[in-house]
Amino acid sequence: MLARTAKGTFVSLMLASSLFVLTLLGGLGFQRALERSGADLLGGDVEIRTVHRPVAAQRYARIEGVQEIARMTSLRSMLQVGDQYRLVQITAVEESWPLRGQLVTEPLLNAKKLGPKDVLVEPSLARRFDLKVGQKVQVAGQDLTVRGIVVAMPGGFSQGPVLGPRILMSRAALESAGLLQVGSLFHDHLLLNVAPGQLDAVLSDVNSQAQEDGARVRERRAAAPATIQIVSRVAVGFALMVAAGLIIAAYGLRHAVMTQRHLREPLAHDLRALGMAEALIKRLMIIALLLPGFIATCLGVVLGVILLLAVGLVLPQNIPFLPVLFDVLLVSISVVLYAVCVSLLAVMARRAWWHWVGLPLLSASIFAIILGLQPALFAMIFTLIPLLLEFIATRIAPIWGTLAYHSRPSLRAIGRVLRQPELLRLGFSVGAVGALAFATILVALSSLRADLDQRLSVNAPTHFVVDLRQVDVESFTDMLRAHNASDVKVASMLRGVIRKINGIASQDAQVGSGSAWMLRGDRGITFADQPPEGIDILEGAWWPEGEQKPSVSLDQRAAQDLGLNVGDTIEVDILGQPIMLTVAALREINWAGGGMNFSLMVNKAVGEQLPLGYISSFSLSENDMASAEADMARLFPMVSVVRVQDVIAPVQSLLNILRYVLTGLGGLLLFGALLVLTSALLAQIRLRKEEFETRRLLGATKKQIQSLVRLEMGALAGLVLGVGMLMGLIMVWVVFYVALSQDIVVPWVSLIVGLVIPWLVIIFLAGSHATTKLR
Amino acid sequence: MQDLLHMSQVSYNVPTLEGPLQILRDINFSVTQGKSVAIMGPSGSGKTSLLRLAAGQHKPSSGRILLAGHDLTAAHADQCAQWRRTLIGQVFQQFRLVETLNALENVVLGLELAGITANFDVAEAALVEVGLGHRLKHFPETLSGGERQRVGIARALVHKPQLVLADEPTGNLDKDRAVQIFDLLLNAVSQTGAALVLVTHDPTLAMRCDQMIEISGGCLK
Repeated sequence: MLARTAKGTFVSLMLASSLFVLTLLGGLGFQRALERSGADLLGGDVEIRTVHRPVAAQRYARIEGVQEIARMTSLRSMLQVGDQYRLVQITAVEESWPLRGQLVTEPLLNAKKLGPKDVLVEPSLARRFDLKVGQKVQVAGQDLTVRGIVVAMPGGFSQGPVLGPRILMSRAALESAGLLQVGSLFHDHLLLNVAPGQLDAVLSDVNSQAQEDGARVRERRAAAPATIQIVSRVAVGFALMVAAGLIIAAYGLRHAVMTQRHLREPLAHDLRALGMAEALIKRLMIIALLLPGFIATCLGVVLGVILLLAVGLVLPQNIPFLPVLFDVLLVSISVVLYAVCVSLLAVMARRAWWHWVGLPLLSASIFAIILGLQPALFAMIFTLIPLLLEFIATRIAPIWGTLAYHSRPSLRAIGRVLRQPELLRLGFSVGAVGALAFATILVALSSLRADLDQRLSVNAPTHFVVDLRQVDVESFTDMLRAHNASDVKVASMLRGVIRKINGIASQDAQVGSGSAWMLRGDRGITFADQPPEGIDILEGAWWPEGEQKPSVSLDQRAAQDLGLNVGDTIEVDILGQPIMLTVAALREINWAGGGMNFSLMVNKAVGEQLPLGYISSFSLSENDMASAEADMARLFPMVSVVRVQDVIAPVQSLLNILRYVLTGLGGLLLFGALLVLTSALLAQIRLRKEEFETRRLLGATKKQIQSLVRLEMGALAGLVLGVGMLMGLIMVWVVFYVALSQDIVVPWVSLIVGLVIPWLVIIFLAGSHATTKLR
Repeated sequence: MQDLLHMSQVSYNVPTLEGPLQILRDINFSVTQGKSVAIMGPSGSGKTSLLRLAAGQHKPSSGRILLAGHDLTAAHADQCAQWRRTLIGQVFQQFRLVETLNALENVVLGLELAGITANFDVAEAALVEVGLGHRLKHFPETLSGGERQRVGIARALVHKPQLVLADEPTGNLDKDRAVQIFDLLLNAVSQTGAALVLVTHDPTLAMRCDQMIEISGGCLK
């Protein structure tokens, strides 16, 4: 029996270790890729950007710590293919570009060898015009030849929504076409590569120079604010999920080891009786208990790493994944050490006090090393919850004793089981932790997926139009109606720069990194006396109709980062006119939704007095799209039209990947946790082998024994699942709602089915397990 | 009088790596209602195997075993278990109490398995009968060896079986305690009118039974 028990534990421990290593390293690899992609997204460590004129490159190149520079220019223009036109975003680059990241084209091309008459196009554009390599197109009257399709491009994502699909060409060609005249609308980006460790020093010099030049500066750590926000949320959710999964594994392991210890106690007793020294018995027991676990964990870790590398090899190129050797070593060593320490504690520590102190510290340490301080806190809480449950279980166990004398046999059986402190303790610490982990992982996963789904914006408009003049608004909307456009929205748009926050100059204000972009350059501002449809005012109240006091509504998260509360003030500069605004209402904005969003909304009395343009968003059916776009180009030549799908496609692609990665990781974690959980519970059943044999000797049929065990497990399940689920929901609610200000989504059906079905399987298995090998 | 237990030409082999090992050979043996039979023999002679065959726990390799007219050799294991819990009471050398049940519940278990609606009063009376009225709610780990065996005897007799099989019930007890327990068992069996098959190494205890048979090398002498 000992061998069989050990074999089962060995296999489940090995599989669980490999799954957790795979999950941890997979998640870390994904996170690292996203974190480190900042420079790739930006195309360099630092970006200096100007509008209407080139950046004075030489001034920045002289700054100490700057290793390389490259220039990239972007502007909107019309691409002509035959007699069709399309607004595109031109990205024109010098030979030194890209400094960071890699341009991936199909067929493979070297960006540095882009000729003056060559052009690369994005897939959506190639599809739209059925462009083939070698085909001629025209940009600004110049004939260019399509040399390839851009699959991935550094700096492509960080520029945020651009007007139209991108084309990539040589900057020299653009200059010779005369499109880069001072005063014309183009953005010049100077990208810098900075020596290791010099980023902050270089940034300081760059910022003072940029202030003189009126240029904007961005750095790799804030390359894509929207992505960073998503990644940070996903990271928290991921840490929560992994913490839940690993802790259940730890408890499963602890119980498996304690069961093994229990099984070997008669042997220790015999050795003691034979006169063996206590220290030697202890050493033998430790070796006997720890060695198989150590080997199983090591094998599992190796298997996990091999699986990770195999997964890495087959992952599509567009999935950001960066397995780091340091992480592999760190995770492998930490998981093995953790397993050994938990086992040692289970073998050595007979007093509960050691478990109360040792386990949380161990869990917090491993998470602090691998994932950081916040996950360490989760891990500590997750470790303390089962101990607390164990404590409660031992206290409430005697209450069930009253049922042991009930007239109904089933209630008597339940009472006799639940009154046992040891069994209830096991049930709570393994079963309830299983339910807790499952609820945590499932609800965290659902909440993150709901967040991502919201960002995936299935209801996003099909088109955006900017630079619409006030005189054209009516005829423009009439034209849209003629093309059956739906969801037509028109809003005024001003642009302004936040100069002061509560009287403190923006550059001196302490702001959170998540919203630092709000203070960089000008922001879109609109005005209305009615709040936008379908949004929630989270704090404060919208101003009344006709309000004269200059008021503003902000995104709640941005306000939090800027240290603004309702009643505080900001000073906004709109075309040289400073306006002091009082924060009246805070709302939530879905930036990735593809809809019309404004970081700042002011009251009508303020907005109407300022010079403004209009923007519009609407949806067109596939059938009406071509004719409507042609009419827009013909009747309103001054407006710029953007197909929203072109803009949000990269974001959607990333979010979709995140969804799949999260679902995969969550599934793996749950599977691993279930393995360990089942193993621990079945080991407990094996401990009762003698009892089942006695029942059999006294005349119990196998069916009676199976029914008894299933009844006991069912009763235990009913009790512990409810408690575990409740605690899991509380845990996720605290982290998501309180810490992340994000609503949680509880998939009740999946949660209940997901908890009940594995338990039914375990209950069935336990029954069969109890009578295996009974005559 | 009709035989309660009847074994005819019973042989019992167990498979080993070296081939089948014969434990019992051509056993012919009967027990009638209300009688006590002591089986004696050296260790490894097959005494315990004989009791297990009688209880329907093992199937003989050949021969026939009838328990109260039921053919144990042809019946399914669960059918044997059913007869075992109603017709037989068993007392074990190692007591075999369920550690998670207290004395009273261990005795009630005998009733429950026999399909008798749990009657705590009957179980309590059985324990009082064996002198454990003051230990009803005590768990086995808190009882002495003698006390455990008394609980075992109460459990074996509480459902009024027709046959009691006792496998060295005093083997783990000192001499005084052994005599005491044996008296208790014999007295209880005679009160219920059950037959008793006792395996023992102690000739003084064996001699107090109605019949004494010896087994050696798997054969009855």
